[in-house]
Amino acid sequence: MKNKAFLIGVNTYDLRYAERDANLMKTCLEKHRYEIIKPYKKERHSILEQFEYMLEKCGQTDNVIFYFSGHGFLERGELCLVLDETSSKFSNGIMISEIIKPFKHFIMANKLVVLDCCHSSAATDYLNSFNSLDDTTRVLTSSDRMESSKEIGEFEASFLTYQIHKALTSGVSKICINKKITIDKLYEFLVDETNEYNYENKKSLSKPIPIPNLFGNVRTFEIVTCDESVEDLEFYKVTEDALEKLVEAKKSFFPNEPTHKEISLKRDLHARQEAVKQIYQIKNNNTDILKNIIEEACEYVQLKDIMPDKKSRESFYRHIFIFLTTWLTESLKNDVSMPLDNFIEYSEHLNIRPMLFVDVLDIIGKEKLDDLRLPESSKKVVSIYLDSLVNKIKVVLQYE
Amino acid sequence: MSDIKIYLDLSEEIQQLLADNGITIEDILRHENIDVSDVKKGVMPQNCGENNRDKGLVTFILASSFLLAKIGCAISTALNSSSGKTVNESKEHLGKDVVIFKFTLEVTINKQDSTR
Repeated sequence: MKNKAFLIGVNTYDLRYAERDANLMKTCLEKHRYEIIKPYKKERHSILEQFEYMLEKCGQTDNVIFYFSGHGFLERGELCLVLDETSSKFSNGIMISEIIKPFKHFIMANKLVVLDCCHSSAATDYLNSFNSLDDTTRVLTSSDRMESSKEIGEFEASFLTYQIHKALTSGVSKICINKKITIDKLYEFLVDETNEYNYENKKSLSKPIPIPNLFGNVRTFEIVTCDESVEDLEFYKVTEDALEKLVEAKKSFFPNEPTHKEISLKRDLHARQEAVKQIYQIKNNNTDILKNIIEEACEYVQLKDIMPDKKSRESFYRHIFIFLTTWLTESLKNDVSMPLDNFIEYSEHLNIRPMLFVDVLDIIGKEKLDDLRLPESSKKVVSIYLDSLVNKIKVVLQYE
Repeated sequence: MSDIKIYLDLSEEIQQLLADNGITIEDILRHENIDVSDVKKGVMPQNCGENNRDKGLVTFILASSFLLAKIGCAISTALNSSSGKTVNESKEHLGKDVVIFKFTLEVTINKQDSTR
């Protein structure tokens, strides 16, 4: 079984992010092992030729996605995907029937059309045409038949695409069930995010962002299978191959990490000095400070801010080191993919905020791994975990 | 006389009407013997600078200003006969060379229903 995606993004008529949309899709689908096909020419004839060629090469067990971001308009009631602005008659536009027809003709496990353009739901006019026996095609659209889709400056992307990307990267933990992300679960996520965005921005939006639509039969489509290698890994018999898989798996280790932009915004809102001041106001006694650090402050306060005394810090490091090694050993013994939630829970149990580990992890480093008394191969795993933790937390903190 | 850009801002109901009947603005203008060689697609001028942009296109016509009334009348008449409803039109001038022609269908209220 293979996963393939045919991605088109065209910046026409003042659009800024359609091409970037296609790249965002590429990034998140590649992460889930999709083979990406992006047409080398934005010409109707060439695109249709490449699309059909890709379909011909697909097997009956393959999953295929067709994706378009750009302008869409209705030409005599049929959705036309705009490829350039040179022709007023759109001889270089693709009529949606030209995509759906071959799509429905070829037999594949699952077929998904994703349209991030205006009037996109008009595509469903053809869902029941051409091959009525086909029940494997689904259509995900950004807008209703008469609605306009939006590019959002703040996201530097179209709304639907941004949310799909979010779902398949940082949102995986929310929508992955039994190691699978289905189109229905993805759709639920998209609708929730759209409603939330509309609610949060109701004052600034002239019109609400259209709610996405999902059409097609009731068969569910597993868009991606989440990484299964991690849980299946047998800890004490770590092979090189398994290690490689683990390196891949660690990339999704902190699924909810905020973006750099989000961090910058937070930093603007809560200046570092302000946070430190707040902490001192909450508690003057150093021993209890860690129990009371407010959530926002945790994200950018370093240990030395709240424990200026070096000896106290060293004592704290020792405490954390014991905790961390216990956690790592236990988690590796039981289940290599011990999720971050458990880690947070564990640390909260000890009244320690996980964000403070950045200092500790920097100090522990790989040279302390000997103290773990683990087999050589397992040390590699621990080392990867440490790297992952340090790097990911560094990203979260924009730590220098 | 230099040409002006006449942007057509059609309500959702009118767009639906055109789509359902499989007709285009070009068809309507052609029917009224108006030259359609300069009917183009574009983005509403107000939409261009915005941070959040619509991904929809509108029709605009490059025509001399004296054709403005004729175009408006032709579109209103055609929409009126297709829908059976009164067509409201309004014009907004954006500078010297750009006009936005807005068309909506009048909402008819059933008196009996409204008093219930």
